[in-house]
Parts: sequence; C-alpha cells; structure tokens
Amino acid sequence: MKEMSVVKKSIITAVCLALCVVLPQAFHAIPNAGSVYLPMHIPVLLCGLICGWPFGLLCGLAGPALSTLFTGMPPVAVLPVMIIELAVYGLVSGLIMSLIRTRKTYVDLYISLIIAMVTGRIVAGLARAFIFARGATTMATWAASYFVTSLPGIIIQLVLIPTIVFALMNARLIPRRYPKSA
Amino acid sequence: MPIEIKHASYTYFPGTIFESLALQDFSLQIDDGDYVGIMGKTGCGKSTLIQLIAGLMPPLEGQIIIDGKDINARDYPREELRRKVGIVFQYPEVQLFETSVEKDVAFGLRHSGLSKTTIAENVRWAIETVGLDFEAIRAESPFSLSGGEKRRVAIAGVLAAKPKILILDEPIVGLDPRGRAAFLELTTHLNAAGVTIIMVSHNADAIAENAQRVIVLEDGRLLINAPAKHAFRDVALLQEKGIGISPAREMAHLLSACGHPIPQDTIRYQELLPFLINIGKGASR
Amino acid sequence: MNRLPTGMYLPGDSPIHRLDPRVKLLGLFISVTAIILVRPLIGYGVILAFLAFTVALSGLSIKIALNSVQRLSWFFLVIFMMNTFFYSPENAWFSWWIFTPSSAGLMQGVDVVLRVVFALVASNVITSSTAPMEITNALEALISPFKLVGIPAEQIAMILSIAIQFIPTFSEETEMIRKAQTARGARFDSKKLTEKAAAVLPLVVPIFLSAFKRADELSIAMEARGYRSASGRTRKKFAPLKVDDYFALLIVIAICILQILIR
Repeated sequence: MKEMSVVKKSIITAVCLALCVVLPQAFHAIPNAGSVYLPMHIPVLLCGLICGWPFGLLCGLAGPALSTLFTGMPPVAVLPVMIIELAVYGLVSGLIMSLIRTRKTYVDLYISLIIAMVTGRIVAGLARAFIFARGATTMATWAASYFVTSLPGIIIQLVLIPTIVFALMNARLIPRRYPKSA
Repeated sequence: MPIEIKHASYTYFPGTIFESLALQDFSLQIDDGDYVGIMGKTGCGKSTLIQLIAGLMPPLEGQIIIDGKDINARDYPREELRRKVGIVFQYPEVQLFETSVEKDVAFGLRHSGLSKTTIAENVRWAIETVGLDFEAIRAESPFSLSGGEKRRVAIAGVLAAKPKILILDEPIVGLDPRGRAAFLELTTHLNAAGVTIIMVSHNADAIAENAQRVIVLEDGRLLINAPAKHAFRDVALLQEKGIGISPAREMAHLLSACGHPIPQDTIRYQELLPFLINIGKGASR
Repeated sequence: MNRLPTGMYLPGDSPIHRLDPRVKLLGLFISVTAIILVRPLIGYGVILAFLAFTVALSGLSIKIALNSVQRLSWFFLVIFMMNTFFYSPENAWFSWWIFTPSSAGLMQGVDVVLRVVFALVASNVITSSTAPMEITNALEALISPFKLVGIPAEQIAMILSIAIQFIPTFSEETEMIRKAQTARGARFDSKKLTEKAAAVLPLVVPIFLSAFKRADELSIAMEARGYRSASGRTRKKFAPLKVDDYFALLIVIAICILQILIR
C-alpha cells in the first residue's frame, strides 16, 4: 500500500487495540461467538496487514493484555498463550504482506492471512507444549483445539478480513495497495 | 394501528447499586398517522422509550402493544415487527456495510419473505424517495459517497421495508440547512402517505414546524402530552425545565408581553408572519 | 449519555495524587499481580483493606472508584451466571438441559467478578488521580529500558494511551450499530458455516469503518498541529523519588509477597 505516515499508522494501531477490547464484547449476544468468530483476531490481523509488522506485533502483544485489564477476558490463565498467538498473527501478516506483491490485492491478503494464521497456531501450540503446560498437550489435542474447532473461525476470517480491507479502501480511510486496479 | 404503551417501566442495571431509572410507570398512546415530536433533556428516557417501541428491548414492567398485540409476547412474530417499525438512529450512515448501495438498501428485506421483484421495487422506491438517482447510484460502493448521500442511503435502507411506523432519533443533527429542510419535507411527505412518524429532537423548531403532537419527558415520566399548538403554551415552564421552544413561539410570547395581541398557540413561522406584517404596518403608519 | 467517562482525571491534592506517577503505575501493576495471585479468603480481606485504604487516602468518592464497574455490570452478570451454571456437572444442585448450577461454580463466579472489580478499582484510583499526560510520561519512563534493544518506548506509550481513550467511545458506538442493524432485521447468528461470516458483516464492517474514520480524523488533526512522530518529543524529567514514594512501593510489594506466601 502507498505509505501512510507513522502518525497515521500509530493511530490505526491504537484504534485496533481498542477494538481488541470492544469487539469481543460486541459478540457477546451471539451464541458461541468467542470460539467461533475469534473476534480479537480480526483487529490484530488487520493491523498487521495495514500498518506492517512492527505495528501488528504491538497490537498482538498489547491487545489481549488490555482486554484482560478492562474486561477480565480472556482470563489471566490463558493470557500468555493468547498473547503469543496474536503477536505472531500481527507480526507474520505484516511481514508477508510486505514481501509479496502479486499485483492483486486480494491474493496478497489471502496469502498473508493464511500463512499468518497457520504460523500463529503452530507457535501457540509449541509454546503451550513446551512452556506452559508441558506434557498436558499432545499432538492430537493441539491439532484438535487449534485447527478443528477453529476451522470455522479461520474460514470466517478469510471472508471477513478482506471484506473489511476493501470497505476501508473504498471509504478512502486507507490507501489502495495497487492504485486503479483491484 | 395505534401504539399503546401501558405502564411501562425500564431500569438500567436493576438490583445493583448502579440502578438507574429510565422510565417509570409510563403510559402513552400514539395514533395511526400521527406525527409525534418527542423532547426532553439528555437522560430523560427518550432513547429508552423509542427503543422499547421498536422492540429492541422489552420493558421490565408493563406492555408495548402495537396493532392490538403485545410485541414482547413469546409468540409475536419478530420479523413482522421489524418490517412494521423502522428506526433511524442518530448518524445512521454508520450502519452501511454492503458492497453496493442497492444491496445495502435491500439488506433489511433479506428475511422478509417478499418476492425478488417486490424487493427490487421497494429498493428503487426507497432510494428515489430519499431524493437519489437510483440508476446512477445503485452500483456504487456506499463508502465512496459523500456524507449527505451516505445518510440518505442509510435512511433508504430503513424505508425499504415500508414501515408503517418510522422512528427518528435526532435525524437532522449534522445536516446543512438545505439537507435539513429536505429531510423534514420527506418526513411530512411520508406522514401524508399514512406513515406514523415519531421524531426525537432537541431542535424545537423542527418539532414545532412538523409535529402534530408533542411529548415532553422528564425523569422517565410524561411532562407534557398535547397537540403541538398547546404543548408550547407554557413558555415559563418549558424554560424552567430547560426545554427549547420554537423561535416563532418565543417571538409570539415576547410580542404579547409587549402588548401585541397574538394568539398563544402560534408556534410556526408561517402562523407568525401575518402578525409580524400587521405590526410592521402599524409601526410604519 | 450523562455519565462520567471511565478513568477521568479529577485534580486533587491527596497523598495519592502527590505520588510520583511512575510509582503509581508500577504500584498498579504490582497490585494487579497481587489480585491475580489471591488464593485464600484472608487474601481477599487484605486486598479489600488495601483498596479501601487507598480510596480513602485519595479523597475520591466510592462512586468514582467504582466508576467503570457500573458500565461492566451486565458483563459481570454474564460471567457470574456462566460460571454458576456451567462450571462443572459434578456436585450440581440439579441438572436441567445444559445447566448444571453448582456451589463450586457460584464460588468461581464470585471469585472472577471480585478479582476484576478489585483490578478495576485499583486502576480507577490511579487514572482518576493522575493526569493523562503524567500517565503517558510515566509509561514512557517505565518502558524506556526497552529502548536499549531498539524499541520506541515513547511511541508505544502514545499508542496505548490513545487506545485506552477510545475504548468507551467505541463501546457505545458498537452498541448503537448492533441495535440499528437489529431493527433493520439483521440476524447475527446463522446455522450454516458459509453464512456465519455474512451474518456478522453488518456488525463488523460498520464497527471498523467508524473506528478507522476516527483514526483518520485524529491523525489529520495531529499532523496538522505539526506532530511528526513521538521520537522527537522531549521527555519529561522526573524529580527524584520521595520518602512517600518508596513507602508506597514497599506496601504494594509487601502485599504482593504476602499473597504469594499465603497461597
């Protein structure tokens, strides 16, 4: 995307951080929303994609912590693993986005998103297995919790996030990645 | 289809130390085809009232009856209520989300069970009713429109369901004078076509010029419920309660205090004008 | 809405107001840690006594101290109910459909809510007795050691403080959007996986658009006033810590250690 100023990127990051707190609350009314829609992932991934990896990383690190501080959710017990997972999302989505340029915005978005979401889940699984709950995590439980139960979440986010990015571009709130062409 | 509010009460955070009363034993009837203006200070219960009428939350006590049916009854069809009652919140343009104007306006009809052709007709009607060129704008992204156009599209999105009751929450805030006039004209036009209009506004002028009935709330209770002409009669009371009066009413009040014979039910500019002309003639003579 | 925004600064001259902002922030961090560590009932008593003492000392009213608790009360209710009814099917009072209310769940619910309320009170006291600028400066000072490894501490402090200011506004806006779409006939839940994403679009897209619009306006305003980046800013020099500051730190550290010892 055409370079945005550091000030603008910083403020977009601040806004995404605030949404890490607000969005999960907004989903309360929907049954099972937390585990299906993974609402906190959306602002973190967006922040990485739009502002680049340093900002995405910050959003992933601080978002869950801020949410715990303000709302008590996620519970402190799962906070460390969640911070690691989200930090990887923000970091990797921004990194891949800056590395690939296919001349098609949505292709770039999908590639960055998929790589980020897979890496984040692997790293979080490893962290859980080797640091936080040694022995309690097996390959099977990890695969089950990170991919099978969250598969709907992954698919949903592959629809949601590019839609939001294009809406923001249309509203001229963020610059287009490739001027004129899609 | 009248709206009957029977002994409705609503409290935020009931049973906690933060309990705050929004409406207390509140009863009101709004007749078909009425144009009601609702006024009151911030926190008087206006928003609670309109959200209860729209069925967005049930009252803790009492009933909201529309068309003779309790809208919070378990077997009441929610879809029917959503079509019957439209609500335009303050800054409605934030609700836009679709990829095209046409789709966004049609969104509310998605679960309506109407046929495709009826939906298409309603959408075209709604977009044209808010004063936009349907063919020119239908495929546009709603986000790329100007601020004024966005608001019109958002209002069209509510009108598309052809609601018989239209609730407007501070609808003219942030509009320029021309947009304001156009919007108010739209409401009287819809009202003339039989739509019940309920408009919440701090703008006493907009209410005096358009509403037939005026309701003033204070601390969750009804302070005034009268035809617009009489609602603004007691200027001292309204000023004491911090509620605005229309400039025409205020002028009539001042002129009569100066000894000019002006009826105290003068609330609109057009009603005031003949008297001003007369006074002007008297002065020049 | 005519309510106090959460964490609004209320100037004053209490011993708490006069503490060094770095100490207050560090103290908040340590007290929250202590609150998380609480295990036995007596631990709760200690925390409660400490908080009551701090609130009294700060001269802030109980209402201010409990400010955001009100805003979150529905959330507390949900947490409390969820824990009570779903905590564990073991030793349930009765079991009906998916509900298995148990006293263990009830206790768990009380526990979670209490901890969050404690943490909120602690952070309310700090944010209400410290000017936002001071908090940002203190945050900057506390994370400045990170600069040694190339992390721009000032900028992070700026981003965090802006984020915190946005939270209440976004909360209200989000609720409004949810209601507006509900009134238009939106259903946010769909049984089919393929439609689940589409079902939440009317909620999520407007939330992001209005949030990014605010970001856009704010960044234009800041750049227009010549704000380039945080790094060029001159850092506030802090006066050396006073006796009170050391004393305050000592108390919170002692409480935190106590909570670990009596676990």
